[in-house]
Amino acid sequence: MTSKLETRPESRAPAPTSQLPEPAGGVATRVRRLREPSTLTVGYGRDLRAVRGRFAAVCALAALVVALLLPTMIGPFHLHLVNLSLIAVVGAVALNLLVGTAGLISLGQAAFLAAGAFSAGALVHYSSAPAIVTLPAATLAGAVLGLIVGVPSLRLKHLYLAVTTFVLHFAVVLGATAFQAQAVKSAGIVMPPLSFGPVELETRTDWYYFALFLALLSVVIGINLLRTRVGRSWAALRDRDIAAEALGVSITRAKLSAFVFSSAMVSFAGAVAGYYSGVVSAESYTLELAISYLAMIIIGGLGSVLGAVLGAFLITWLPYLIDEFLRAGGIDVGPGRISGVHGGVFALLILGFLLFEPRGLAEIWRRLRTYISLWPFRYVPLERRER
Amino acid sequence: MDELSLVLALGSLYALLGAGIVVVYRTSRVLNFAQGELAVVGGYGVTTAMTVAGGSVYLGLGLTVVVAAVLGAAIYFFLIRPILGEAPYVGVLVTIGLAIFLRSVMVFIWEGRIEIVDLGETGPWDITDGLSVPSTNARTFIGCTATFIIIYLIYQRSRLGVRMRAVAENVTLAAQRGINVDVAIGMAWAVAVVAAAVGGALYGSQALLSVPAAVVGVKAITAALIGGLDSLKGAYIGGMVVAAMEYFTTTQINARYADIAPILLLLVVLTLRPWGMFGTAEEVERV
Repeated sequence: MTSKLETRPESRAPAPTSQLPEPAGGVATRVRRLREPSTLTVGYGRDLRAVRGRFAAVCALAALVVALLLPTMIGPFHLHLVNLSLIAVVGAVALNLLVGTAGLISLGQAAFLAAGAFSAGALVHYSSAPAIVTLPAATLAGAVLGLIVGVPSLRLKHLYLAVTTFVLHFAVVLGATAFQAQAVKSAGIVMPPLSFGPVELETRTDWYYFALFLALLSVVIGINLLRTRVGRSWAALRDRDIAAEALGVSITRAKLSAFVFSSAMVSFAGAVAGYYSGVVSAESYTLELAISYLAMIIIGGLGSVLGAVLGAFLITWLPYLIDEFLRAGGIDVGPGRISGVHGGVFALLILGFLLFEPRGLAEIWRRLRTYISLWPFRYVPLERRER
Repeated sequence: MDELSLVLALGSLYALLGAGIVVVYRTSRVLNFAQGELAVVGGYGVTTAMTVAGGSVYLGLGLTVVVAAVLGAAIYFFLIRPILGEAPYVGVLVTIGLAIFLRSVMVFIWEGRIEIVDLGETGPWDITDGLSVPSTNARTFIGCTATFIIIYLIYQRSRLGVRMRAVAENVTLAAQRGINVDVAIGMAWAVAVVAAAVGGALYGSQALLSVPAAVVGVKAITAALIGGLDSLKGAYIGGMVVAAMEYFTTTQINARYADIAPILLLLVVLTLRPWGMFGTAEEVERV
């Protein structure tokens, strides 16, 4: 694997196909772009780069500029939705590591979110601890809970794992409800504004930059983890556990680390979401919440970080998009039935993607990108295909 | 007597819904998370069917059973058949998607109204002098148990049941011996949805039908899992255990925990004996 022959330094990496005669004419530029298609990787240097190719770099830079200027461009309500989506990105990326990459199905997402929110809430309630304490504590609580759930996963697979996490959901929500009833006797634990020392997140714009930072961080973590030993062991576990074990991957370590890492990250997201909404209440951690996160990664694309991001945005915005669409179309379904429309579209999206596009929006995006970058041709030349 | 009859009524209801889950799981290896929603939609369907049938209970029930059977077969052909053989979690997610869709159907067609299915007598029912039970409980118990026994007999004794069990045992061999696998699994889904509809109608005659009432499906799944996912007998006993547990928690501990207690019992069962009380151990794929 690590033979010197395969690792060519990036600077003098001659593309194996560069000896081909340069075609002239209108399509020449496109053909030149084909010389190093994104699917072909020459050397590890390119493989390890975060942004591959000049086009991707330009896109990333443009996206960054738009992202930084976004609060000045949209209204406060839309900014609120963006904030919710960005916080959801953290949870969705983490869930996708567990379900999409490691192949361990979890219906316990709401439980992990609740664990984070309630451990932060309990610390705030009893000791008015600052966020610098509560957020790590919430992360730790999630890691411990992940370890607890991870242990049965060593024995149970697939369906029974789904059932175990399903049971966990009810158990954690029960604990949270009991704690809430005993500790605050009200609708929920009131959370103070999130602050780090003198810096306090007051406005939605402040929150936007914080959430953007967290979302970007989780995306980078998500992408980079997949290139590490741990991330590869998760993928091996998903693809075939017995084969992975034969290749020397410790199944025990892979499963436990997937659960611990994912649930720690989800708990962190749960605590942040608790701070953002200003109140932590057990009633909001429903099975529907867990399912909506699963919907994010299914619709976005299982195992894809980009998919988790797309899914988090789509699912968070979906009810508002439907409302806008109905308003634009002049359709009035009445206040009693609007939630039925929301649920119906949501369900049809889940079912549609599961049945017709199981690899999600990320796959649609990949196909679209390939189509555009190859145009006017339809196929990557055979010798340049991914091996 | 009232309490005992209530436990028996609810237990048999969970058992009936659980039987649907077991039949479907055995043939198609899909754990149906939409059974509760199917039951409530069935209950709503009976109220509508009774109006259509001019108030006749039997005609309304008969109409619902026919529609439910067609719906069950349709669910198999359009949702389950395309994903057979995929990783088990796909089945879980598809039935969850179906559950959400059915909830929105409830909201859209019946506007999530709280409804009671009027199946007749509601007062006490005297069995002998001094011994009477609420007739709703008696009807639910008798109706659910009778339907359960019919399903059991179909599954164990009829030609169709033999085919379903053959498919459950080994799809390839069953197909090779000339069994139409699609028909067998489609009929299993039809049976499950009919069980849900009958259960939903009886549930609606004794409790209130509403969108949150679909939580009854969680209890049915719990019952099926405690009994053993591949055992019909287990589903019946599991249903009774769940109902008894609920009753015990409500009266002895706190009504707030009544919904959770059976699930905690399930956690214990999953830890000690993941295949349930009457299930076969090979069912659980070990690492």
